[in-house]
Amino acid sequence: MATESEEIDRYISREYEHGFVTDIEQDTFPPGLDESVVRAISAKKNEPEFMLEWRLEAFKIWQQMDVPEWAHVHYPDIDFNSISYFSSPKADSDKPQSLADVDPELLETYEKLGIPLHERAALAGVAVDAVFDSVSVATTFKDKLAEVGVIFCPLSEAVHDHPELVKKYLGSVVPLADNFYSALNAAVFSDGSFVYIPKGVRCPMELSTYFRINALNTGQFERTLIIADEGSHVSYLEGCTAPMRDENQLHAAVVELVAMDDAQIKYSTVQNWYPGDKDGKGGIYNFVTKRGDCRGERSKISWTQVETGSAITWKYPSVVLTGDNSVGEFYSVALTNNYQQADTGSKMVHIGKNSRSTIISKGISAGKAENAYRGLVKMLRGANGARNYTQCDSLLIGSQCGAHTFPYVEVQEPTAQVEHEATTSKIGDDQLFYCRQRGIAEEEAVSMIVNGFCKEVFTELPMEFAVEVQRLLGVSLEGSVG
Amino acid sequence: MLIVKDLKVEVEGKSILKGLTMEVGAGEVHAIMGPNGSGKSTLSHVLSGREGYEVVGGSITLDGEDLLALSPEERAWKGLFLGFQYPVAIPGLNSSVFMREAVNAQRRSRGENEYDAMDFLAIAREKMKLLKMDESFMTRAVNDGFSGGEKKRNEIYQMALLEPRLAILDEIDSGLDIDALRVVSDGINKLRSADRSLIMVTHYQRLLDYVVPDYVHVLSGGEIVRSGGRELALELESSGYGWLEKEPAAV
Amino acid sequence: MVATQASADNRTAFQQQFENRKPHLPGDAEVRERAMQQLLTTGLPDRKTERWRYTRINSLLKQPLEPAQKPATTTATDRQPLLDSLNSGSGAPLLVFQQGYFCAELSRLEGLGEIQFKPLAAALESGAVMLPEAADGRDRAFDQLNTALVADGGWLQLPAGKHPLITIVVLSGSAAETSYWRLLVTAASHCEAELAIIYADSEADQETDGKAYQLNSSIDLDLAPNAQVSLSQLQQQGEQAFQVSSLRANLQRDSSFKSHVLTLGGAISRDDVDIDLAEAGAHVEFDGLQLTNGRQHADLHLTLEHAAPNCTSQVSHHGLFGDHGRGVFNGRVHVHPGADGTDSQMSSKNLLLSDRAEIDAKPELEIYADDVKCAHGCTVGDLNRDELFYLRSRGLTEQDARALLLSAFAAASFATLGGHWGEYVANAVTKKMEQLSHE
Repeated sequence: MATESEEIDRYISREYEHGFVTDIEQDTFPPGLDESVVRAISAKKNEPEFMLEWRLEAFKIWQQMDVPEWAHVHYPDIDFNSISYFSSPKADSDKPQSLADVDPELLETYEKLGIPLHERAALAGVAVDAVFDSVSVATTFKDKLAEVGVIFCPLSEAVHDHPELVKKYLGSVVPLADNFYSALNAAVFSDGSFVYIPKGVRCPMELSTYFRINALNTGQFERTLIIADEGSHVSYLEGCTAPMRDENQLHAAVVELVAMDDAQIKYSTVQNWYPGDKDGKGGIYNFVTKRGDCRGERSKISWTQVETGSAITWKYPSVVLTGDNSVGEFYSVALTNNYQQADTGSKMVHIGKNSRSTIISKGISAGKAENAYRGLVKMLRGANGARNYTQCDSLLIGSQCGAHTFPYVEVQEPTAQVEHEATTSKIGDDQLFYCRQRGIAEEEAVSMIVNGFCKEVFTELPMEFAVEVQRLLGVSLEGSVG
Repeated sequence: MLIVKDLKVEVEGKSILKGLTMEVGAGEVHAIMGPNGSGKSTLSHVLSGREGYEVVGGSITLDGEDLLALSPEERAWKGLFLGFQYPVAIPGLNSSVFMREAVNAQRRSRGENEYDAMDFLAIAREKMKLLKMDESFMTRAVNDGFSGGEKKRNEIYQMALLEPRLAILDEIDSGLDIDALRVVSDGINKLRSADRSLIMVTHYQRLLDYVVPDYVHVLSGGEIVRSGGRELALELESSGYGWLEKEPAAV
Repeated sequence: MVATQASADNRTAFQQQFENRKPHLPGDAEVRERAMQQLLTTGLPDRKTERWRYTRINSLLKQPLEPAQKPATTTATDRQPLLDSLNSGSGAPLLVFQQGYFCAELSRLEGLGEIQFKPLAAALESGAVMLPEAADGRDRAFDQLNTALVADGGWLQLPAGKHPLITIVVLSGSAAETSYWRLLVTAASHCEAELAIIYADSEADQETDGKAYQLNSSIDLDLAPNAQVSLSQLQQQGEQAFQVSSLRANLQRDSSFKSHVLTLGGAISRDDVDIDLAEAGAHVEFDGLQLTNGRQHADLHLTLEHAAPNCTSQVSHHGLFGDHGRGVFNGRVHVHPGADGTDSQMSSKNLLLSDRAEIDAKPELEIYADDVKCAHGCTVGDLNRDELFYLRSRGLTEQDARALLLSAFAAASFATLGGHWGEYVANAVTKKMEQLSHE
């Protein structure tokens, strides 16, 4: 047993691969938050009056809210006045109009991350919006998308070019007062992606945003809004990385999805923010609100997430199933190692008749990490024939970690059906020995078994992500075997 | 090729093997028989390097190399294969992916090129054809939801792919009906060759009707109490293991 | 902010009750003082208290009811049929409590054999036993109140050997007051015992009366190594009752505890069951049943502390809710570091029989050891269609088939209760089921 544990320790303790810092000129606000900062952010972005008012209202609400304490995570209080709420590459004043204008060093950064911003993107069939610190630096294939009427641009641009859409939908899924971090985001969000798919259009390529935190002592508050009009389809990918820093950095994003009648949105995330070092120093606090509204009949929203990064993750991608016969899905792999903590899960709120939802959650805990699934399935009165199936499985690697399950099931509708199952297991000694007898080294065997454990989720990922994710899992598990 | 000398093994302080000696030459087929609790499975596990067994005396060498100094995977790379009595399931792990990794790990250890997915598929198909197996085996997760017979056939298929120098088949016949036993035995016979040695650990002589051994050893109380040819197995079948109880007293 | 204000007032009222009663309460006063102090410090559950999330009791606590006094005479004369039906001439021991106080006239101690019993007041006075410390925290306020204010109850010592069934009847509710009742049980090594507890109001037909009353009951149980104890509780309170019950069991090495909490009555009932698998090899089987209709609200909070290696637990909860009935089930399995070899299974199955009914379930796992087998499942839904079809294909009407399947669903909860007690429970459940399915 002892030797196995050592193996596992070695395996888990591999290092973070994306920990480099890009040395470019930054335009950064001094730390601190008051109304003037909110106004300054809005001014910096040349925002129309309605946006400033919206932000100020959010700020007022936020000031009266308390930091949520119910999650199964522990961290010192955050001093919201020690954070800078805006940072952007200096070139912001004359924003890059095309990739050719983008700072070569930035492009290099994305190259290092393996993100295709150039022709490779076309080959991969992916349109990319890259958000560096708080600012969108490049969006590819805008023209090609415009041909079919798809709008894919930074939210800061949409505020100017499509104010009617922004006014109608921004904050319509996650209201200002929803929670502490979403209210903060609404007040100070810097940028993010905006997507509108018009009626009946199938988006011709995958859309993708890569987020990168670079600057020191800055919070990142991006905001994504995706609207799929009647009968449209879109698949959206999101990836995140950050440099290695000793301090904790705050990331509080909001994602809102709206699906009208017969529309489908598939939202996939690979979250690999810096998790902190093996002693738990540094890392990103990832406090994110993600929610989709299946507003139309027969609409479908599907969340797939692979979470391997961040010191603390606090995130519950949810679907409000408003429309009759709508479908919500949540597929998640959350891996925590060393001192990482994750409290994540999903909420499915059924309002529409015959609405259906599925939650598949795979939590893997190694080292001294804490991994909690927290979920809510709510069947409101009148959600006739609604159904939910939830399965959450936990895998423990080593004896010093924790795996927890907190599912809330609230049912007011007699014709609704809810089924929840949860299991906890460890990687069996007999499984490891079987692999090793076949000549597969322990480290590789653990990785294979973990991948097998996660398979139901991985099959939901778009092809481009699937390979990357398996590799990422291997890296994140390094030094973990027991 | 394989030399086991005066092997003494304890499990949690309890002596299980008490000085076992045997030698297996290239291409030979040995059967190890014995009643329950005689130490048969312990021998299989110690040969393959499973943890939880303490070797307190003796030695095991394969082609002159000290086997006990090697990890389970290193032994596998040297060409040692264990057919498990109870093959474990690994849900979600595709059989083909698993076996390709196993074969490639072995090839890497010998400095050979790894197979890509296409190469491997061709080889896997060929082996399946040899063993008359359905290709659906490849797309299923390792042993997950397999019947007893399927699991054992899968072990033989893995053996075919890994082409071991020494295969230890631990009660490969257990849990098989007569048809399944025939299929598994056919598979084993097809894999016999002049440079591949086999150790078959079994409780019953039935298997030996199909896979005829060169030598038969009887294990009892942690020692080999008798060795002989094929006829010893038949003798055991007619007289059972009861005589072993008296034997030590007579010696 | 308003809520805090209100509960602060309540605290003072409870404190006043305590000060008034203190001189007359039996036993060591210090443990009571400490419990009261805890209550004053942390307060009563409010809408932010996670463990009381689905059971709001603010209005109930606005004007705390006075603690019940010891009845001068037997007030429960019309309960004789109940007692007879329980005893059925078997000669088995029967312990009866009124408003929390031991009632010798209605009890029968003859059959106790080697079992030692004392009314709690006497046991506390004699110093033979002390009240355990109350649990900490706002969510445990009722436990603190019980410790501070309880005046009587029972003390049972179960020696080694096999014992007859002990039936315990706890009657309350003859006036708008709160009855406090406490039972302390120690089970010696190699003891095999079975306890059956019924909670009911002291008058057979409470409906005509309509006054609200409360029962605050609390049981502490210690199981020595290899002890085997079964404890089943059947709650048949009147429609106006608010009952809070707590059960704490401490299991030592290789002991086995079987427990039933069957909730049929009461307006609001809340059960806190905390089982501590403190030493290796301990085993728990728990069955919970909630049947509510009208405006009944039943809340069961169960916590299993798997603190030692190789302990096993099986939890099964069934809920059937009709009319405006509500159910809350919270089952928490906490596997401590080092509790390797834990095997814990939990299931909660619920059926809503009306579109006004509601169930809120939360089966939690909190695991800090890696060599464990833990699983939980929770379902809410309608009867299995295949089963319904099967019965109808054999000639049953849909209504009969439903009724049959519903009783089978409920019966799973007490299938292991045998003998006369099992029959009594089955009858009580059947009666309740008739009410439920006829709405």
